[in-house]
Amino acid sequence: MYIILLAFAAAITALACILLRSYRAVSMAAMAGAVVTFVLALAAVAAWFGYFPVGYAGLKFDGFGAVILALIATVQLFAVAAGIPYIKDELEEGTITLMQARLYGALIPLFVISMAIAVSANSLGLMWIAIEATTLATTMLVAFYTKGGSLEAAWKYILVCSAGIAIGLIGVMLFYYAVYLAGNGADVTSVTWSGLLAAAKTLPPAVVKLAFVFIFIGFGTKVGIVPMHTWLPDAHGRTPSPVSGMLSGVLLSVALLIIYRAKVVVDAVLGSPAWSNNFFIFFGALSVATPVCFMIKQKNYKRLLAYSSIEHMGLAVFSLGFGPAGVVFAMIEVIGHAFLKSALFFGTGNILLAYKSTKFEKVSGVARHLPRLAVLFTVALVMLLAVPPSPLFFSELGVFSLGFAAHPYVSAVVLLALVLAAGSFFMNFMPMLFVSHEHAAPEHYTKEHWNAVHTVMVAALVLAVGFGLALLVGPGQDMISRIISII
Amino acid sequence: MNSQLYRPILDVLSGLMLVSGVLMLGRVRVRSLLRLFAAQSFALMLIAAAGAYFEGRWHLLITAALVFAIKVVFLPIFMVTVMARGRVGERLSFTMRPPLSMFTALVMVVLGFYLTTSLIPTLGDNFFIAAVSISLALLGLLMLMTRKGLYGQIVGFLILENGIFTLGLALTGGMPLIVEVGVFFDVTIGAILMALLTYQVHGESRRADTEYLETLID
Repeated sequence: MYIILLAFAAAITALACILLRSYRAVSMAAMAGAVVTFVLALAAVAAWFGYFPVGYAGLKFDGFGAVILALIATVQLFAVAAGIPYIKDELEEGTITLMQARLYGALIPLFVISMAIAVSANSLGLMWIAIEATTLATTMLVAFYTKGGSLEAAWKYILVCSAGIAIGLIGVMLFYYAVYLAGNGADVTSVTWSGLLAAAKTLPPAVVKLAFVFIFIGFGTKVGIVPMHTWLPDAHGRTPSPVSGMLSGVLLSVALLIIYRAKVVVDAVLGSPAWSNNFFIFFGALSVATPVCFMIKQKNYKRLLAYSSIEHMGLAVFSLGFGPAGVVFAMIEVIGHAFLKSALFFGTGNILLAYKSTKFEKVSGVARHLPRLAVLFTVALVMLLAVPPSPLFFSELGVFSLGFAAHPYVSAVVLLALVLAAGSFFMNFMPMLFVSHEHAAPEHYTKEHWNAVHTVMVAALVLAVGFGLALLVGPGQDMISRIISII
Repeated sequence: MNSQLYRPILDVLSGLMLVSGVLMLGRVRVRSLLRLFAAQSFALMLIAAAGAYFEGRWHLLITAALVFAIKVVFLPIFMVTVMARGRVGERLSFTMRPPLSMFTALVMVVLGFYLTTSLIPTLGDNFFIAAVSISLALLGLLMLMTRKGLYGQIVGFLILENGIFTLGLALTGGMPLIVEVGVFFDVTIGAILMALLTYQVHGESRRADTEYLETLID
């Protein structure tokens, strides 16, 4: 029900953005669409948690899925709000045409609805279609500026992700095959996550294991798990900043959710999580350790943030390898990362508009020229480095308390990598924010005014810190025990 | 319906798909590559149609029609049009020369058959077609990796997809119709987007290979 309404809202918004004449009208349509999407998706989540009595037929997901849907709803609202002044500025400077602004407005709701369907679809086939649709909807946003680098990023993005997701399709087909074998050759009409779980005892383990491996590799490409991550820094570094925020903040987590669901199925079939845990621990640790090598000497601040996303996703993957408690910590990690990383990416939009460069060497003295932004950016940065009361503090503390008990050496490597990553953040961002050089002053300098980007960053920070504080006191404990009981 | 004929027909058609896949690795011109791709997709269409006729899975007819309309007719013509409008030479460029590619392709086929035997032991009659489809997927990946030309990479992706599609037919007798239509829709839009990006690259650089696209490295 909700998903159909959501799809309607997305289609109408996209159409309106293409057809309307002035940018003002387009942005109002986009904003209205985002608000409607936000309300509908949150209503669906509330219905799922049982707080909202109206039926939610057709939307079936687990607790993790509900959390991700809530994140999609929130971050897309932030991204659309932050995007309106950003695109307006570029339009006024002639960086983009009105047609491009319309296209931007129209692609975002399509991207958001694909994510929402991927999260809430019970059918594996539909889920696959929606995941591939997220790639297609964002390709043109990656290629948005049509300069050499953007085209390259878009080319890598669509090719690597489509090939990866095609490999994921083999996994989906093997799940169909497992059901086909279990049903003694009857026609398979649909294969659903809930159906797979219910029939877990009858499915052939060999085929299901194989299916899991393909899904892990295939959708792992989209999560940015390390050997398959090559597209990620390019794509996240080249898109308009509000879209980078959405790609990093929620799209990665959507793909992570799919892998997690496949894990739940394979664990049920095998009767124990030991086999799949090894995948998560190994590739998770690899994904935390590798990006650090590219972060320390990084020249481009958007790419630095993108590598840091690989790292946080790696940590969530790592955490998923440690049983039910690990799942809760992965969820907290994903939530905190979604708010903080998207806030940082929105902030880079303002820096880019003022300095016209994404290179560290061309940007300095942000605190002097854009004081409001610098304060918010610094707070978000510190929160991202898991300083309490950041929610990431709790998730990382939890992961390491589990990790050191089970795999001390691997955990030590992961912890060392996190420390180095924090170091690279301070080394690179602090001079950019607080030191002024003549040769790296803003090109387009007007006195900083409070705009939607600041508001959105404040909102994201309030949500993140509020969530962190809530974990300390009563309501958070209640929520966590609720989540644990669901898992 | 003479179902005795079904198995040999399937084997011959999937064999043809495999041969065309290996041959594609040896092509040096975009047009002849696309002709082979159209031929391969035509064989895929016949496999789907045979499934509909011999096993009574009539929804496969729709799949066959889609394969014909999109993969045999539309995509090859569309790509040739984009190439002509971009005014770029139609020689493909490689990181691995065609003769060596073809040899590697044969190794990939052996690997594909070996993987199929060891990984999915329960196939029975469907062994050959499943092994062919896994091999095709590997050939597609090989093409993706060893072609610098944008068209070569697009076709590599499409071969990969053809292989996976055949695997779906072999394993389960075709996915549910709505899923197949959706997968088709995605692949088509994906290929169109890739071709459009290629067109933009032509506009920027007057060439059609990835040498122009090697600035984003760390």
